[in-house]
Amino acid sequence: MDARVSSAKPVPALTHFAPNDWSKAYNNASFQHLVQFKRNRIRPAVLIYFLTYLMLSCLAGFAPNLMAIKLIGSFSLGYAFILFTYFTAWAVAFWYVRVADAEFDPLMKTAIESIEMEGSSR
Amino acid sequence: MSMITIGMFGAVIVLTLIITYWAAKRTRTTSEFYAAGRSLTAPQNGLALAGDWCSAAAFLGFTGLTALYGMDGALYAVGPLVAFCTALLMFAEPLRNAGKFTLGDIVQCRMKSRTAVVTAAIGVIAVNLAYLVPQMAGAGVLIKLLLGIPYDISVAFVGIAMIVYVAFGGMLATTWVQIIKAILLISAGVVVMFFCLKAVGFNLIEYFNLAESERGAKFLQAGNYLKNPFDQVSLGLSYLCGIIGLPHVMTRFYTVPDAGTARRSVIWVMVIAGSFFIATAIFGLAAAHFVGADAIRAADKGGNLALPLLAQYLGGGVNSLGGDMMLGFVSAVAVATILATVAGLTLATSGAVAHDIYVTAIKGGHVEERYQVRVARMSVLLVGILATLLGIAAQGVNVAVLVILGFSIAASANFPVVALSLFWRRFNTGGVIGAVTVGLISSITLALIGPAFLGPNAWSPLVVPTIVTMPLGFLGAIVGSLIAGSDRESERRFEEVSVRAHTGLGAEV
Repeated sequence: MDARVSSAKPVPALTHFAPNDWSKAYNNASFQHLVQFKRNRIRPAVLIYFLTYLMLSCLAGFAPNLMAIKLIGSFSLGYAFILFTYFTAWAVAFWYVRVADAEFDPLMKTAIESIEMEGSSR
Repeated sequence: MSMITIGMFGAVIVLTLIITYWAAKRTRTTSEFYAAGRSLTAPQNGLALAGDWCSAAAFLGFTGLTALYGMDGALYAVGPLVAFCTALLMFAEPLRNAGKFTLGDIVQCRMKSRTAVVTAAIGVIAVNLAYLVPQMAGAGVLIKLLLGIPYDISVAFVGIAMIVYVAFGGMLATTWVQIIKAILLISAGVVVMFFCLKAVGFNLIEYFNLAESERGAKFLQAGNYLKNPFDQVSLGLSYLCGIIGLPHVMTRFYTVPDAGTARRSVIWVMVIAGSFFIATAIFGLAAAHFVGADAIRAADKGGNLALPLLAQYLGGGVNSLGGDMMLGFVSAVAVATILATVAGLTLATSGAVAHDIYVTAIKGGHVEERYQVRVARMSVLLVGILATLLGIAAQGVNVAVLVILGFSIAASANFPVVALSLFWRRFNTGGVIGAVTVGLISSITLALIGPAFLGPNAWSPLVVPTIVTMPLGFLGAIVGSLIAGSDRESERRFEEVSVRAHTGLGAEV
C-alpha cells in the first residue's frame, strides 16, 4: 500500500504523567506555541477539503449542466470533479500525517518536556 | 440459492465464532472489553475502521444508486471518504488523548457533570439506534433473498450473532470481525473490478459511453436521486460533520496505543474505503449495462442487489458454476458486512448505556472493574434484544429515512457537543443540554415532516435536514451555555482538556 505509512517509525511511548496544575500547563509558552502552530497549519487544509467538497455538492445541486460537459467520451466534468475530490481528500490526509510526524510531534515533545520541568520545579 | 452460497455463508459464521472464542479468553478488564486493551496496530485499526465504515449501505447501496440513478450514486459515495479528513485533522488524536472508552468520556472530562454525561449518552443512543435498525432490517431482507430464510428469523439470527460476538469477545472480537470483513470486501472488490475491466478491454470510459447510449445523457447527470439542490449540500454537511458524532467510528480510535497510531490508521481506512467507493461507481454503471435496471429493480426496489447480480453475471450468469460462486462470494461478503457494522454499533451503544449512564453518571465512577465488565455484557444483551425487536418491527417500513436521520442527529446533536467540548472555553453543561435537545428534536421533526417520510405531501422540502438542524444544534449549544452562565470550573477544565488533547499527557494507556 503506502510505504511511508507502514514503515513510519511509531512515536516513542511518552511518559503519561498527569500534571497536577493543568492551568499552569495550559499557559506554558511551549504548549501555547504548539496549539498556535497546529491551528495555523491545519486551518488552510480544512478549508481546502471542505470547500472542494462543498463546491462539488453545490455544483451538482445547482449547476448540473456545467457538470455534464463531456471530457473524454461520455466521461463528464462532474465525474472528473468527483474523482478530483477523492484525490484532494487523500492528498490532505497524507499531507497531514507527514506534517504531524515531522512538525507537530517534535513541538509536542518540547511542550511536554517544558511542562514536566515546570511541574518538577514547583 | 445454491449450496455454494450456503457454504460460504457458513464459513464466515464459523470463522467469526472461532475468533470470538479466542477473543473472549482475552477480554477481562474494561479496557480490554471496550478498547481491545489499546493494543492494535495502525493497519489493524485501519482495516477495522474500513470494515466498520463500509456498511451495507455503502457496499450494496452506492452500487445500486449508481445503477439506478447514475451520477447521484457517485456523489453519495464521495462524502463518506472526505469525512475522514475531518476525523483525522481535528478529532481522532484529541479524542484518543483525552477520552477513555466512549464519546461521553470527553463530555465527562470537560464537565464532570452527571446531567451532561446522561444528555450526551442520549444523543449517542439515538444515533446508534437510528443506524442499527436499518442495518438489521437490511440484513433481514438480504438473508431472506439469499438463503430463503424468513425475514423475522433472519433478523433474529443476526441479532444473536452480534450479541454473541460483542458480549463475549468485546472490542477484540468486534475488531477482528471487522478486519475479516474488510479483507473479504477488498478481495470481492478486486475480483469484480478485474472482471469489469476485462469485459470492456480495460477501458473504463466505455462504461460511461455505454450508459449514455443505453440510458440517455440525463442518466449521467446529477439530480436524478436528490432532486432538491439543497439536499446535495445538506448531505455533504451530514457526512463531513456527522462522522464525529458517530460513536461506533470514533471509539475505534481508543483501541490504539497512542495518538500517532490513531493518525496512521486513518490513512489505511482512507485508502481502502476510498478505492472501494470509487469502484462502486464503475460497478453501478456495469450493473446498469450487464444486468439492466429492470432486473435490478425486480430483485430489490432500492437497487441493493445490483452488486451481487453483477457478480453473478460476470462469473458466467445464472445457473453457471462461476456465476453461483461469484454470487455466493459477494453474498457472504454482504452478510459479513452487516455483521461487522452491527457489532460495532452494539458495542458503542452498550458503552453509552453501561459506561456513561450506569458507571459514570449513576455510580459516579465507583464500580469494581470486574462488575463493570459484567454490566457492559448485560447491556450488550439488552441493546441487542432491543435492536432485534425493532428490526423485526421495521419489516416493510422504508428504513432509508432512519440512516439519514442518524447522520442528521450525529451532525446536529453529537457533533456540536464533541467539537465545543474540545475547542470552546465557554461551553458548559447548559450547552450540552441545549445542543442535544435542539439537535435531536429538530432532526427528528424535520425528518418526520420531510419527503423521505411523507412522500410528495411533505411539509418540509428537505430529505436531509442537516443544513438546517446543524446550525440549530450549535445555536442551542451557545444559547444553553450562555443561559447556564459563566462556569469557572468548566473553564478551568477546558484548559485541562486542551492540554490532554494536544499532548496526550495523562492519557489512558
